[in-house]
Amino acid sequence: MNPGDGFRAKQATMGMTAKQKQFPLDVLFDIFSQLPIKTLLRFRCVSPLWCTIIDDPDLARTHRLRRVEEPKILLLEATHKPLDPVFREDRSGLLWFVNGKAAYSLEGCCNGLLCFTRPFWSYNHSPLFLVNPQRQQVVELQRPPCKGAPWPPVHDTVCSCSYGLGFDCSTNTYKIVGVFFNGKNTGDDDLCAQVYTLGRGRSSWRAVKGPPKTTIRSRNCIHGRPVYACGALHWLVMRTHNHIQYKIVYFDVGKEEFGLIYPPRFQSESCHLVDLGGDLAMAVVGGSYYYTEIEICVMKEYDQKKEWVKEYTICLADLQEMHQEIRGDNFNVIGLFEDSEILVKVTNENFLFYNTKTGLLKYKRHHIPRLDYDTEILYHMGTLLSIALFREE
Amino acid sequence: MSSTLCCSFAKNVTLRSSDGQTFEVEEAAAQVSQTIKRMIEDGCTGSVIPVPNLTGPVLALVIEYFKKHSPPSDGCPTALLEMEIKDWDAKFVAVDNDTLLDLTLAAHYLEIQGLLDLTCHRVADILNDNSVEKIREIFHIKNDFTPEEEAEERSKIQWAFE
Repeated sequence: MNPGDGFRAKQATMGMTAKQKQFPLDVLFDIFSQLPIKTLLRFRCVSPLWCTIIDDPDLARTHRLRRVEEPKILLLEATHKPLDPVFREDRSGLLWFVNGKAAYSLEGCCNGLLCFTRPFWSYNHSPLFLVNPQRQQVVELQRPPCKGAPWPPVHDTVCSCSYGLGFDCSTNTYKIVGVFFNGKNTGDDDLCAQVYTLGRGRSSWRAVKGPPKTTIRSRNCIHGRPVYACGALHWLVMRTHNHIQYKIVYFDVGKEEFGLIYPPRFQSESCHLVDLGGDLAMAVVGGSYYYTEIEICVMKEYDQKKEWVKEYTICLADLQEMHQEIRGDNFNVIGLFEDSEILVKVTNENFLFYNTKTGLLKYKRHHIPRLDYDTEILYHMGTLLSIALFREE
Repeated sequence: MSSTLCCSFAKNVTLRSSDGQTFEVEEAAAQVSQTIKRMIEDGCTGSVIPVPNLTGPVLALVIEYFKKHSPPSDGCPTALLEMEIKDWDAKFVAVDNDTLLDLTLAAHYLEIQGLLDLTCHRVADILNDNSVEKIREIFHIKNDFTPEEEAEERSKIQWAFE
C-alpha cells in the first residue's frame, strides 16, 4: 500500500503537538550531526539554545565521525593589512581564509584547525595562534616556557625548530608539539620537545622525551611543517652532503613518543610527505634528469611502519612537451579528494589533476587565477569545533 | 527475536492515544517500539496500553510503520523486500513539516530507532537549504535573541549567509 494515500485525510486534522513540545536535545543533536558546517553556523542565529548545542564540543566530535564534510582546497592568503580574519567559500567550492592583523606563518594543520606563529620572531618569543578558519576564530596560546633547565635554550637565535598540530583520536583532543634545540651543543642529542594539550581553559606545556638520533645531525634537520596522518606527525629529514639520505621522524600524538620510520627505497632530491586520504604517503619527483614523473608511495599497515607500496605513477613527459612550465622538480602533491582525484600544484596558478581510478591526467592552467605566490594551498577537512573554549584566562 | 516470532500469529494489543482513540495491532508489530516492548514484557498486555504523548492521527501513522516493519513470520527478509521497505519509508516521511516533526517526536518517545533515523535524516534534508527565519517557523521557535545579539552572531560568520 502506498502510505501517502491511506491517511492523507487524517493528516489534515493532525494535532499540533510539535508546536507545544520542546524538541528533545538528543534528537536535535542527531539532526545537527548530519548537516554541513556552513548550515550549522547559520543556525547558530536561530536561538540561544541552538547556538549552545552547535557550539557543544561533543557535537563537533560526532560531526567529525559522521564525515559530513568533504575535503576541500583551502587557500591561505597572507596580508600585512590590519584585517579581521575572514573566511569565504567561492562559487567553485574553493575555501579562502585571510588571516589579517599581522602576517602569520603556518606551523601545522590537522582535522580542520590551523596553528600559526609570527614570522621573523624567534620561536622563543612568538606566541602561538590556533585558528578555526570556518568559524573565523583565532585563539592566542602561551608559548612554551622560557625559564628552567634543561629548558630553555641558551641562545635566543633558535632556528631549525618546529611546531606541529596533531589529533589524538583515543581522547578526542588536539595537541601541539614543539621541537627545540636545547642549546647544549652536545651533538646529536640536542633536541628537546614540549607538548601542549588543548583543553578547556588553561592548559600548559609539558616536557616529553625528545626525538631520537637520526644519524643525520638532528639539530639541523627537524624543521618545516610536519604532516599529520594516522595519528602521528611526520617530518622528512634529509641530508644531501654526499648522497641523498632521508629519514622520517614521527611523533605519535596519543602516546607522546617520537620514533623513526625508514622511507621508501625509491628516492630523489625532491621528495615530500603528504596526507593522502588519511594515509601517510611520500611523493617522489623523478624519472630522469628532467623530472618526468611523480611517484607516490603509500605506507601500508601504518602500525607496523614498514611496508611502502608504490601506489601511483604520474607521467609528465607528454604534458611537458606541450607546456614549458611543467618543468623542474617543484611539484607539490596537495591531497586526494572525494572524486578520487589527486591534486598536484605546479605553480600557484597551474594544477595537475590525476584521477586514481582512470589514470587520466588533466592539466589546468590558471585554475585559480590571480593567486599570490605566497598563498598557501591546503587540503582541508573543516571542523565544527569552537576553539573559544581553549582561550586562556 | 525468537520470542516475538512464536507469538506473532495471534496476539493483539490495544493502544490508546492521548485523545482517547484506540487501535488494535499485532503484538509482534507493536514491539518494533522498544517502549511498548518493555510494557508488554512488564505484563501490560491484558489491558489497553496508553500512549499519552501521541495524538490519534500520529499513532495511526506509527501503526502503519509498525505493520510494515514487523519482523516477517517466515524468517529472514529478502533483498527485494528490503528495497520495497526502503521505498515505502521514503514515501512515508514525504509529509508536511508538522507531521514530520510529530513523527520524529513519536519515534523518540516510543524508541523506534529505525523511524527515528528515518525522520531525523528527512528533517536534516529539509533544514539544510532553509533560512534562519524559515527554521524558526518550522520548529515554532520564538527568537530569544535581541536584534543586537542576532546581528552580532551573524557578523561573526557572515560567509555562512552568502
